[in-house]
Amino acid sequence: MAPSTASLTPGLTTFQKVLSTEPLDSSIAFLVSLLKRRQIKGSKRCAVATTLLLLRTVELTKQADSERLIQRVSEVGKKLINAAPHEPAVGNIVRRVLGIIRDEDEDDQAGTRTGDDGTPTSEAGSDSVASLEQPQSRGGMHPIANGLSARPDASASPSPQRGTSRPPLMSSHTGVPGGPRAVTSMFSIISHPTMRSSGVDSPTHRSGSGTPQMTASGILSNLRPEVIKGVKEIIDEINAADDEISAAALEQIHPQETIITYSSSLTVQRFLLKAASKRKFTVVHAESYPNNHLKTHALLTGTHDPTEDEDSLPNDSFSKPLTSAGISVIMIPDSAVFAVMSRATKVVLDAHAVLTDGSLVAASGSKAVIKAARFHRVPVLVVAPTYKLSPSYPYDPYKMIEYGDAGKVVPFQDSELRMGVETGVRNPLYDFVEAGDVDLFVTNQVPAVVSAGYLYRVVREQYHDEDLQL
Amino acid sequence: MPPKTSKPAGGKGRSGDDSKEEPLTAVIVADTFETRFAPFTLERPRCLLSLANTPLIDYTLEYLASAGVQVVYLYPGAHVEQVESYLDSSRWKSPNSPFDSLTILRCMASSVGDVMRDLDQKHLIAGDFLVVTGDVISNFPIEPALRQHKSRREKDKNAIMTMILREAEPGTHDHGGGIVPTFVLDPTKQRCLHYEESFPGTQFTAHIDPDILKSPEIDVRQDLIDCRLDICTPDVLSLWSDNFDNQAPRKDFLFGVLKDYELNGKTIHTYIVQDHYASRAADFWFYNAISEDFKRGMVTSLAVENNVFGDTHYDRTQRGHVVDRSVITARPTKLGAESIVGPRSSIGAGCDIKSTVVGQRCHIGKGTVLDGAYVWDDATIGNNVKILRAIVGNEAFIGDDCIIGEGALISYGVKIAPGTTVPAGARICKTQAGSDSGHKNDALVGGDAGEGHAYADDDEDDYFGSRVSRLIYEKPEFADSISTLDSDLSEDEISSKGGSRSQSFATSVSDEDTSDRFQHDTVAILVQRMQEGKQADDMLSELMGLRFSGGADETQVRKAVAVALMKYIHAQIESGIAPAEATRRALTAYNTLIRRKGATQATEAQVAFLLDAQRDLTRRKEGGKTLLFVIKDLYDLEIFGEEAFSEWWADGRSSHDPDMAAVKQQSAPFIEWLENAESESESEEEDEEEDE
Repeated sequence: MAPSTASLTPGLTTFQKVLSTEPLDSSIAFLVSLLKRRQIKGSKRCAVATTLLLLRTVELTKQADSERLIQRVSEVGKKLINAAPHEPAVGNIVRRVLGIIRDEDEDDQAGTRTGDDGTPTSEAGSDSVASLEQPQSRGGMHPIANGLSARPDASASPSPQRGTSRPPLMSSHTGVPGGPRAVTSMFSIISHPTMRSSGVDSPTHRSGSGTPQMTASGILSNLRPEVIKGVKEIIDEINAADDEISAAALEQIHPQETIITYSSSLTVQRFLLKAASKRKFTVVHAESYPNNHLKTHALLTGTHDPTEDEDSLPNDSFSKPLTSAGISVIMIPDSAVFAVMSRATKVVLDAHAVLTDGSLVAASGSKAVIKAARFHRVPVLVVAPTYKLSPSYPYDPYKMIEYGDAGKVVPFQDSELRMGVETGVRNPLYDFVEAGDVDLFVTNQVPAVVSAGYLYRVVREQYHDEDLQL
Repeated sequence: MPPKTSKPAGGKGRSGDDSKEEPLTAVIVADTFETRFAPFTLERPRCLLSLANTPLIDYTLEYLASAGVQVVYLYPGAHVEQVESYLDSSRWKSPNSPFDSLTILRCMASSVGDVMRDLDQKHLIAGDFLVVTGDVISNFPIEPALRQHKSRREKDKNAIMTMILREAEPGTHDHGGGIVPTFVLDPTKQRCLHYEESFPGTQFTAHIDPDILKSPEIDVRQDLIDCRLDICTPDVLSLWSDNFDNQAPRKDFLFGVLKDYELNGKTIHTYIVQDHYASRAADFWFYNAISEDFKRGMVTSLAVENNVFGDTHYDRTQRGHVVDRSVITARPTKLGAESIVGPRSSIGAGCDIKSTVVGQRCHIGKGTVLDGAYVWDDATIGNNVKILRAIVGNEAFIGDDCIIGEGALISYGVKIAPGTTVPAGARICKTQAGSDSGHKNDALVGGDAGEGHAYADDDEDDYFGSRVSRLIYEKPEFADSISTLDSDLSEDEISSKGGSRSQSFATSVSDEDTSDRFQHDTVAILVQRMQEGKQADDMLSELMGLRFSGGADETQVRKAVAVALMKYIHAQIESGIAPAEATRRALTAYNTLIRRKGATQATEAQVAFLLDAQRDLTRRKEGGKTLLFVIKDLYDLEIFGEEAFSEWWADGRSSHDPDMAAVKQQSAPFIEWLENAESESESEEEDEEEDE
C-alpha cells in the first residue's frame, strides 16, 4: 500500500472529498459525526466546514426561492449546531448564510418593485445550471486552492476594498422603499454582490458575468447564484481574516513593548509577525500546558510538522517563527504568568468565541492570564475574526466549556490519584472569561479595533435579528 | 453460509485520488465465545448489552468509523437475528452510513478460531485489516499504529500482526475478575516475544524460551489492557487455518505463533497506547470500570453528553450528572454526581440517586435509593427500593420496598415481588438455564407476583465463568474464593463449557443438511483414499481440510471416520478377505484417524465412536461379526481403553432397538472375556499372547 495514509482518518480533507462526491444527506451526516467526534474542531475549521456544507446545500436545494432556502439552511444548520454545542462558529456561519439569503431576497424584491428590466429567463436558467456545475468545474478543493492561490492578488487589500464598496451599498439599501432591515444591512460586512458592488469587487468575482441579473420574472433563478456568491465570499473572508486582522498590528504594538501571549494561535502569530516587520519588541509566550504546549513549542521553534496536524488549513501551513523576524521570544511556564505580568505592557490573546457582551471563551488558562493582566492594569487585546463573534448571551457559561482528555492532567496509568479525587479529573479545554476584563477587540471588520463596550454593535451587525434564535 | 452481499470494496468511490489504495477493512468478531456476561447473554447477544445507555457494538462501530474504516465485516456469533435486526435499523446500515459496506457474516463457530478460519475461506480480505471484538471502547487515533505496522511490514514480510495495547496502572488486572495477560516484549522492536495468561492472586510462572532471554532488553508486563484490536495481514488468516486447534485469539493463537517463531519466523508486534482511551468491556469488572469513566466524562470524544449515538439530548450539568433533556424528575430528588439518566425516564420524588446509570424509558418510584446501580432500558422500579451496585436488566420490574444487594444481576424481564430482599451476588433470570429447570427459588423472587429464577446456582463452584460474570469488586470474601476456586479450574471444564455452547449454537442455526453433506462427502473420500492405500497421515490432513471446509464439529468428524472405516472393512470382507484379517489390517493402518490430534480421547468420545460404528454395521451383511472383530482389534491395538467397551456395552443406546441389539449380540463373548480378563490379569503381555 502506498505510504500516503494521511487521509485515512476522517477530517476536513475527507469531508471535502465526501462533499464533492456524495449526496447532500450523506455529507450532512458525515459532518455531523465529525463534529460530534471532535474530528473537526477549532473555530476556523468548523467555520470552513460549515460554510462548505451550506454552500452545497444552497447549490442543491430545488426551487430555490428564499423561503425554501432559508428553511433548508436553518434545518441543516440546526443539525450542525446541535452536533457541536461547543463550537459557536458553526452557529455564526449558519446565521451569516441565512443573512445573505435574506439580503438577496430583499434586493430581489426591491428590484422587482423598482421595475428593473428583466433578463430573459433562459439566460437566468443557464446561469443556475452553471452554478450547479460549479463544484465540478472548480473542483472539490475549491476553498483550499482559493485560499492559497487567489490570496496574494485577490485579497492583498480586501479590507479597504470592502470599505469602499460599502458606502454605495448602504445608499442602495436605504433607497429601497419598504426595506425593513436597512439599518442592519447597512453595516453588514458582507459586500453584497449586487450589480453595483460586483463591478467593484471584480477580483473576487469569479463567475465572469458582471451583467445585471435583477429580474422581474425570474426571482427564483436569480436568487441562488447571488447567494452562492455571497457564501463563497464568506470562505474567502475566513481565509483572509488573519491577514486582515494583522493589518491593525502596527497601530497596536509599539517599539520596545513587552507583549504577553498565551497558547498557540496562528492569528496572534500573524499579528505579531506583522508588527515585527516594522518594530522591535519582546514577546513572552506562556505555553498552555497540558492541552496546547506541544503546539506552542512547535509554533515558537517553527518546526511545525504538517503531518502532525490532521489537515492543515491553507494559511496555517506557512508560519515562520517570531524569532526569525528578529523578535526576542521568551517562553515561560503557565505558572509564571502572574510574575512576569508586571513587566508586560500588553497582553495579546486569541479567543475561541467572543460573545455579544464582550465575554469570551478562550483556551483554558486564558482567564488566569486576563485576571493577572487586570491586576497589573495591563491592557488586554483579543484578536477575533468575525466568524468567532457569536450573538448568543452566556446564560449558562458552564455549558460553553468543552472538556478534553483528562488523561493529560492525571494520566490514566495513575489510577490512585485519579480515583482519589471525589468528582473525578476534568480537563477543560476552554475558559469562560466574563465581560469587562478585555479592553480591545481586533476583528477583520471595518472598525477593526473596537472597545469591549462597542462590541455588541459589531456583533449585531453581523446577523439578522430573525436568525439570532435558531 | 455465504455472505449476503459481497460488494466490491470501496464501491461508493469515496476514496478520490487514493482509489488504488485498499479501503481500510475491519472484521468485528462480536461474540467472544465466553460466558462472562451470563445470565444476560442467555437472551441477548453480548454486543448489544448497553453500556452508558448505548449498545456495546455501537462503540466499536463508532470507533471504526472514526478511524476511517470503510468496509466492515461482522460475525455476530450467538443471537444472530437480534444483532442483524438491530443493525438493520441502525444508522450503520442506512444510506448515510459512514461505512461503504457493512456485511454481516454467519458461520458455524464455537470459537474465535472457527470464525477466523471461516473468514479465511471466504476470501474477502485482500490487504491489511483490523480485527476487533464487538466490545471495544476507544478513541485513540489508530493512524500512527497503522503507519508503524505498514512501514514495519515493508521491511519485513514476517511482521504479520500488530496488537494495540493500552498502558494502565500496575495491577489493573488484579481485581479478581478474569485473567492477567502477561506480555513479554522487546521494547526496542516493539515485538511481542511471549504471551501467557495467569490468574490474579496466583504467582506468575511462565516457560519462556531461553532464546528470548538472549535479546538485550525485555519487558515483562502485566499492566497492559488488551483491547483486542489487532492490525493483521492476510497471513494471519492462513496461520489460523493452518492450525485448527487454535480457539482463542490470545491464549492459543498468539501463544502458538510466538512459540513457533523458530518454525515459521512470523513476528507479532505491539503498539502501546499511552494516552487517549482504549479499553474493552471484557467482563463485568471492566464493564463497571468503563461505566465509571463514562460517568465522570473521561472518554471525551465518546462522552454521553456529546450525544454521539443518535438523537439523544444529554447534557452534563454543573453538578456533574448527565441527564437527557426529556427526563422528568419530581422534586425533591437528590441526583448526585456521576449519574447518567437516559431519555424519557422519570424519577419520583425523594429519590437519592448516586453514581448510577439509568437507561431509557425507565420509571423509578418515590423514595428510591440507587447507588452505583445500572438500570437498563425500560426497567420499572417501585417506591422505596434500595439498589446497591447491581444491574437491573431491560424490562425488569422491581416491586415496592425491595432491597437488591450488591453485585446482584437481575436479567431481562424479571419481576421481583414487592418487599423482597435479593441477597448480594444473586443472579436472577427469566428463562432457566436448561440444566436445572426445576430449580425455582420462590422465596427469592417473592411468591406469585414475582417471575424469575435463580440462575444456575449449583454450577457456581466449578464453573469458570461464574467468577468473572459478576459485578463484585474488591470484596474481601471474593479474594478468598479465588484461592479455593483455582484448584477447580481446569482446561477441560472450560473447553467442555465451550463445547456445550457450540451445540446450542449449532441448533440455533440448524443446518442439518450441511452436516449431512459433510458426512457423505467425507465418508466417500475417506473410503476412496483407503482403497487407494494412502497413508493415514496424508488422510489426516485431508480430513482436517474437509472438516474445516464443511464447518463440521468434532462429533461429525468422528462419525464420518467411524462410518468410513466400517464401510472400508466391509468392502474388504466382501472382496473375499477374511474378516479378522480385514479389520486388523484396516485398523492397524488407520487407527491414527481415530486417535487423531485434536479429537477428545475421553471415554465418552470412544463410546460414541463405537455407537457410530455399531449403527453403521446394522445396515451391513454380517454386521455383528464385523463388529466383534472391530472391537477386538480396537482393544488389541490399544486404540480404546477397556472402560470404553464396558461403558458402551452398558449404554442404553447400544441396545435400544432390535437391529442394534442383534449386531451387538455377537460381541457378547468378547465383552464377557474382557470383564474376566480385567479382573484376572491386566498385564499387556498376556493380552498379546492371547492375540497371537
